[in-house]
Amino acid sequence: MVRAAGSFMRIMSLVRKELEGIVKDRMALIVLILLPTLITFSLGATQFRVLTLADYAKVAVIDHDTSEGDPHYDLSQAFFWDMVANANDSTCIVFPLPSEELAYYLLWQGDIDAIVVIPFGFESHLASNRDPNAPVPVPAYVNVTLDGTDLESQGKVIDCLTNAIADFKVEFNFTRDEVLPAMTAVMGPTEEQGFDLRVTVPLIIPLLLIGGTMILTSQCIVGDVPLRRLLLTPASKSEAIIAKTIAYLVTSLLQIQLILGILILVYNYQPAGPYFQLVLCLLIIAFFGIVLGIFISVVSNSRLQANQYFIFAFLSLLVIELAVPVADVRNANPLHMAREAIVNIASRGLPFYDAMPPILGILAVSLAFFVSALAVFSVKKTLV
Amino acid sequence: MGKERDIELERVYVNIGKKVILEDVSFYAEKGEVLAIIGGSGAGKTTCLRVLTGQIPPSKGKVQVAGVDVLRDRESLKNALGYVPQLEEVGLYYEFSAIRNAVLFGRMYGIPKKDAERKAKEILTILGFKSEELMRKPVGKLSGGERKRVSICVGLIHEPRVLLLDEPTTGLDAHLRIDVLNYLRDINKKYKVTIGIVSHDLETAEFCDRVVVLDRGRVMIFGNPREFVERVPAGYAFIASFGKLGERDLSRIERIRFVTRVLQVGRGTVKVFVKRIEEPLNLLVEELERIGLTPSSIVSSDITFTDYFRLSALEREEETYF
Repeated sequence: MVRAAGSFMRIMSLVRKELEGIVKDRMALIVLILLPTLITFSLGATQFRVLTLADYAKVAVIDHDTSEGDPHYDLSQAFFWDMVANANDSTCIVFPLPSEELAYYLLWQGDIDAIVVIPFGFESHLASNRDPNAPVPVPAYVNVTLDGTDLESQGKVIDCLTNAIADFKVEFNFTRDEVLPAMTAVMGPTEEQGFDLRVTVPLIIPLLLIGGTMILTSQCIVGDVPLRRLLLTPASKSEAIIAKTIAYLVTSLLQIQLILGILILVYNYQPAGPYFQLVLCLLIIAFFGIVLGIFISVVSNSRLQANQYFIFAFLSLLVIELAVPVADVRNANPLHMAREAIVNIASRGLPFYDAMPPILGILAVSLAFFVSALAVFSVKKTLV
Repeated sequence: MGKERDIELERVYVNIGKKVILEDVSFYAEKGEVLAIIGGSGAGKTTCLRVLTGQIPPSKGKVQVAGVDVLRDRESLKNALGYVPQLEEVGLYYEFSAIRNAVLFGRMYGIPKKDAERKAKEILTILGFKSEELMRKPVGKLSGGERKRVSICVGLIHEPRVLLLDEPTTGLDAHLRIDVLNYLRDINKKYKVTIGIVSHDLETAEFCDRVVVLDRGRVMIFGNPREFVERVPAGYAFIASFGKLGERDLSRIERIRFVTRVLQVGRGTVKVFVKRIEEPLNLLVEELERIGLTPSSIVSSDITFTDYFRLSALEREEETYF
């Protein structure tokens, strides 16, 4: 009855078994389909978000300036109104307050995010600089106090102030000997191409692909108890690992189509590079998640241990990417490489060859984990 | 020259660290026989199984399965051997049906899907699966006895020369245990497969052609169970129940002139072995009544390998005591 079974046939049978197992596993379906669908829809929905009061940085302005200088305008008030004019674009609300004491109280309470104080002499200093015979120009300061605990609001306030200062200088002709920046951001989000998605996709999609595949594959060896019996047949350990990798690559490919399908069809996300290249790039990123998960599964002795290793590995990737301010360390992080790779292809639209370095990096790390998983599994006892 | 030996351990030692797990273990089963490897916890029976399946190399000695040296030719061993683990969750995919499990394992041996499916149906039918609907039900929804039989089917799918089973009757009700052992006998007859059954249950030996009993890593008994039964010094056996029975009552029964031995088999129940005499049942009842022990029931019984084992253990105890 026994025939010379080729390794290829065994691998294909094992791939089919894996895929059937995934289809019959409710948890796997949730991770592979429901989770990415929900996250992708939430990601896309951010384009249509309605800003609430909570989204705005609140900036209190205290005007102490009663000095004279300009015969026609109150310059401190004009500066205040320039801030008000720029506030909305910077997601800020600018309003006057009568006293610094009240403003500091509100800042400590977390009710406002910044205090801008226009000191006495603001107008007279600026006016004195109009005199062409003035020996040295006198700078006019505004004192800004920011909530140091909130990076997002700091960015909004600084943006609002920078734009207000530029407008104010141009408006009142304080531009002698000045170099003003005229900035244009390229490759960033544009409304037609899916406004926020060009920023969020390179971070969220790799997280979703790597996390989703890792959580499943980290259980795929340690949780596949009957595999021990299968290994008493002519099937080998390397065939089992190869089959599992192929099966999860197939599911990842479907997952990628699902995510990109929602982004493109529902939210008008238009990757700058070719679709095929983006899919290939995402598949390589998923491959990293798959082999890291398999490696975890191979070195674990129980399902619980595999879960713990998964959480440790995933958090490490995330923390290094988001919180380690050392570029060399971050650059070696596969999650960072994945982000770079997607930016290169989907946002910058670089040709695949030019976008290769981070992709090759991910492939190298993935192959290292794949070979390690094979080596560890080959010496591991799998007694029935 | 005897028949070809399909299972053979010859002077096998297994040491793990300084601990001796198997010591000078030798036994065999000839082609087409059913061998029971019996022992209590720590006797070394599971180690024997792992040595036979090539999972543990022996420290010393020779191990052959289906004429294959298990250490030298792992690939031939895999093809010649079918294995049924003790726990079904270790050996079966619960989300798949019986047929799907069998086909999956069959594919590993290169058996085409259709052939594997046909073979699986044939084996499952012998194993008592009456309908194809049952064969296509997910294993997780089958009963314990049905799962056990699916596991046996998976072990047989590639028509191995030798089938090894680890505790196939553990966790089953008494009638299911006997069912499983009878099914194995049917399989043995139909496919001429040599079967090795590891068990802690002496009852298993009744169904086997050969039995080896292990104790603390050594062979205690090895041979044909029927030959051992013939060594019991009795012509007949009866199981008698009494309302109440003390230690002294057992001695009184044993002193009846034609009674050879008495074994307690339950509370107030004894198995009485008598010499080969005429009308043994009537005589035994009369004698019991004479000594004031009227049985509430008394039935004729077979003399079994379990009886031999218990009686010889009793004799060893007495020899040590005196």
